[in-house]
Amino acid sequence: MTDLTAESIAEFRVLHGRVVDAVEHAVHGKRPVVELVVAALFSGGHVLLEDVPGTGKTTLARALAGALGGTSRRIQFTPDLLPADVTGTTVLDPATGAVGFRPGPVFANVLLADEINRAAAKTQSAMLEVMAEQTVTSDGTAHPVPDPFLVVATQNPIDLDGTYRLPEAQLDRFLVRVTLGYPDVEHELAVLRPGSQAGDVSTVPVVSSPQEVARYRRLLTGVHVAEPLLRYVRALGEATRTDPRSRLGASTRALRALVGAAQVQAAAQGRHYVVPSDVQQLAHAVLDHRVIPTREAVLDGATAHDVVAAGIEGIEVPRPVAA
Amino acid sequence: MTPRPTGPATTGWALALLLVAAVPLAASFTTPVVLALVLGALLAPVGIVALGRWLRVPPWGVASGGLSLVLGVALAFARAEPAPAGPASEGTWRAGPGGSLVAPLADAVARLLTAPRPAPLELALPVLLLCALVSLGVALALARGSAARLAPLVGAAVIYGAGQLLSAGAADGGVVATACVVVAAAGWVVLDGGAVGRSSTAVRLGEAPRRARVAWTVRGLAGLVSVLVVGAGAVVVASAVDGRPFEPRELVAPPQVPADLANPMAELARWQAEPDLVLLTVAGEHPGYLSWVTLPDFDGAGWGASLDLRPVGSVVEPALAPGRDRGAMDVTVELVGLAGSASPPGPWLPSAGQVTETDLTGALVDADSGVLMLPVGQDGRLPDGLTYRVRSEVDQPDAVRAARAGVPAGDEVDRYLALPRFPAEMREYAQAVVEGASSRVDQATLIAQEVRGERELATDAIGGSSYVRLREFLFADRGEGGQVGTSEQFAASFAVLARAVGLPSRLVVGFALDEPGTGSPVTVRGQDARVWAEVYLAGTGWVRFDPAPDAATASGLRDEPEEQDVSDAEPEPEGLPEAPPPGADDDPVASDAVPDGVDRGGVVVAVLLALAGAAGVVLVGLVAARGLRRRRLRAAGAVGAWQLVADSLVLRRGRPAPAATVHAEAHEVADLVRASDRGTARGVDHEAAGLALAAEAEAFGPPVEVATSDGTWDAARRVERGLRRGAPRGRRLGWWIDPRPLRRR
Repeated sequence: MTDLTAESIAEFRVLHGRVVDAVEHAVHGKRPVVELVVAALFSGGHVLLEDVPGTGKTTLARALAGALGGTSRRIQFTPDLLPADVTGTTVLDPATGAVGFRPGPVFANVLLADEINRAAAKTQSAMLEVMAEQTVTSDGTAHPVPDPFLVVATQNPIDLDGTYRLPEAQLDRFLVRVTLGYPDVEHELAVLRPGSQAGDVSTVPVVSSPQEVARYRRLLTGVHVAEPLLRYVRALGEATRTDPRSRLGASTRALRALVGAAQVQAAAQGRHYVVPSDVQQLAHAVLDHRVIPTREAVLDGATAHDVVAAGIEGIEVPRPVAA
Repeated sequence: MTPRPTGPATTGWALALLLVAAVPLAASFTTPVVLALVLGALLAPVGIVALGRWLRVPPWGVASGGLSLVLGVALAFARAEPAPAGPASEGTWRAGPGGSLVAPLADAVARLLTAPRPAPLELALPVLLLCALVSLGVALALARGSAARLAPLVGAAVIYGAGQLLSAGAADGGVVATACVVVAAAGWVVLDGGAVGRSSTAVRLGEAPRRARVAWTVRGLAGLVSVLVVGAGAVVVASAVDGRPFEPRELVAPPQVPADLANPMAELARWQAEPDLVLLTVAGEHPGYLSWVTLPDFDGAGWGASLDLRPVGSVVEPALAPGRDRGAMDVTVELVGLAGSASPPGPWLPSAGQVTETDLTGALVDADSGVLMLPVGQDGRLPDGLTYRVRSEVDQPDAVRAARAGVPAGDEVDRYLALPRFPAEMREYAQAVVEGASSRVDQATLIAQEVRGERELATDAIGGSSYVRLREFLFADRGEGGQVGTSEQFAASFAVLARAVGLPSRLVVGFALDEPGTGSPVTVRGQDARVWAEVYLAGTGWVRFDPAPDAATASGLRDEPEEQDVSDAEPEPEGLPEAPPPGADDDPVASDAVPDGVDRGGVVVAVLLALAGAAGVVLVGLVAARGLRRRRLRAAGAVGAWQLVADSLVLRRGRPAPAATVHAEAHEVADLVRASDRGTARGVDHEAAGLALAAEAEAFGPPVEVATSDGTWDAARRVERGLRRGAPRGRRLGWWIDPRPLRRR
């Protein structure tokens, strides 16, 4: 049940700021990206970090886990990783002679799935099933993963030999896809200075708890989204579907995720209602990885980002209108 | 994109446009009740279409059902209308025997076109049917939403055109047309693509692509410009064309009236034998003569007339245009010797000029000759003591204009030039008479002088006007019956010789009064009956020539400078050029003449005034619309206050990008104000940001009761002033009349 009040919005704004600040102890100069990841955390989505090695993807995931104070696990995906290595398996206990379920690393509040595109399709599928269902089914028994459950997956866009590209349906499971990128000069110099705490996740303070995250996840679904905004979101999705450069547009699940992320974004700014700029700011992070351009468009240099940008720029934004 | 039905605002605009366009149509009738009926005919199909949509009847069903209903009701009214009775029935249309189902409707149109103008209420059915059909078509188009801009305009054009046709252009001098343009323009400016696409949030949310709105704007402006260009072109063409307005009645065959008429020439001799016989009394204003029967047709043996009779008041122009100098005369005639059992048989009524009105029920008139008649009973005589009043347009030819006038050519003149089997001897004689004449009037004057000559007028002379009698009259010696004749021979000789030299002429049997009357009653006796000739001159009209030597009959006309009486004729100049052959194509009008009834300078002034008036109306409308919008925005709280700011931003730099949010616009406001006035920028940019926040909270937050604050509105006005202050001079001048904010919601 939602019980959203002005006080709870104000409390969340403070909490959101604390979490972002805590993560920034380890990840310098990437506040917008951190805010996106935190927004995904509070809206119940998963994050796909896509960047070259050494840009802080793993650090970000671990720092987030540290700030939440919950359990965190890390899986380094390799081609020989089996689904049971991820989800767990049923084993015979020699001491007791009983058969029991041994949970895999997915049973954590924050799971870092490193280089997810290096695992075989079967393992990826098992992983993504957990992401969607929030449970692991073994021998007919469902084992729920902890709540909250946030997967921060990383993948390397270069050096693609021996990788298994994530299928579109599985990409759709990720709420946002973000790119960290290299830090700017000032922050990179700060990282390089001897004694810098950048990348040291042990210094990240615990500022929240899994229970608190779970409570706000439920609470923030009550942030008001006006009917014109819902139509605006739908029009954005429609634009990605009808764009001649698009082979696959945003799904309804994607649009629903965009609304949810916008609710968190609005609450993080102290509002109990969503405004068009919330949607515009999140649209690329939420939609880009779900839109697939046509081969011809790719040859012409167009990207999914271009398709989404065209939708944002071409569709009239809702404005306050007197009755 | 599937067209969507239009809203009530567009429907109301379309109806208003059609109603304004229907004003000339309704003005063509005798009673303003027709305008109310027209309004009903316009509203009913809209109701039918709305009902059909409410009942979810498919569009083709609404169209066919509406059409059937309209036609059915019209047919029922047409068949229920009783046929006219009495003498008036002679001049009105009725369904022919064995008429089809729709014959009454077809007859209704013909009856309307042959009826006097303005038409009576009973003949309004075709007009109402037209309005209903046009309204049905417009309502169906609006229901589809596919031609929401064009359909009302086309419908209005059809209705307005019908009104102008029905009245031959007399119903509107341009005021209604200007009003139509203003109403159309107002609709196109105020009702934007959103109103047509739908008034909901669809457009605001981007469901209507931006290019659709742009296309709507472009098409609207193009249409408006087209209307103005076509209208201006029409005015220019109308001012440049010298001719009569198109008259649809000319396309309708007039009702055939039985005309078993006796030759009036026979009565002339009887009246002249009884010079004191009182024929009629005349009161009121008259030109000094009354025509009784006009005889335009000559077959070599005698003169006659084939009449094209229509009810008095019917809109029909004579084949030959009347003169430019005309005057209205109102005369009351009481028939004494011309009516009753002792009177000669015949339906003719003395009148003057072209009769436009009379109090006689069932009177008919021939537009070409001006002959007025009343259908008579079995005995062929007019009722005893018949008294009637006629109002006429009488030519008052100007002598100067007539001296420069030529004669027209064409089929319509051939009737007045016909000389079948004309003797060569008479043709040579005529050409010899006019040799050296410097103008057409000179030719006529010379012929009249020649015919008068030394000849003698005798009431007991042998009658007739065949070639034989005329040759005897003109060329034989007095002892052989020549040189003596009645006014018939004098006039007929003049007319035949005039035709021989190409002057259109005709004979008129009538009554010469002492002098042009001003009101006192005049008694007309047998001695006053006579025959004279008339010659047609372009731009001057029919000019009377009476070559008979009795001065008394022409004395009333001598003082008129425009009358060409032989006694006042100029002496024949020397070296007159040879007369043109019959049928030659003279200049129809003098070179310095202007088109009939057209003053080009006046037209230009009128057009300029109309354009200025239209511009004034548009300006006032824009100011009023902007004022109403501000009033509405002021009552709308923070959202309205922000819209005032957004309007100002539009006026300052045009429409925003589709993706520009309120916050982006607030930043832009701050930048613009900061760039133009740093002194006030700080306060204004903060106020703009605050207004944006408040507006978004009100618009996108959960519904709450919002208190209207004057402070919010005042802040918006300060932001507006800041934006206006930095605007270019042109935009500042047009700030309060710029229609662009009206296109925003």
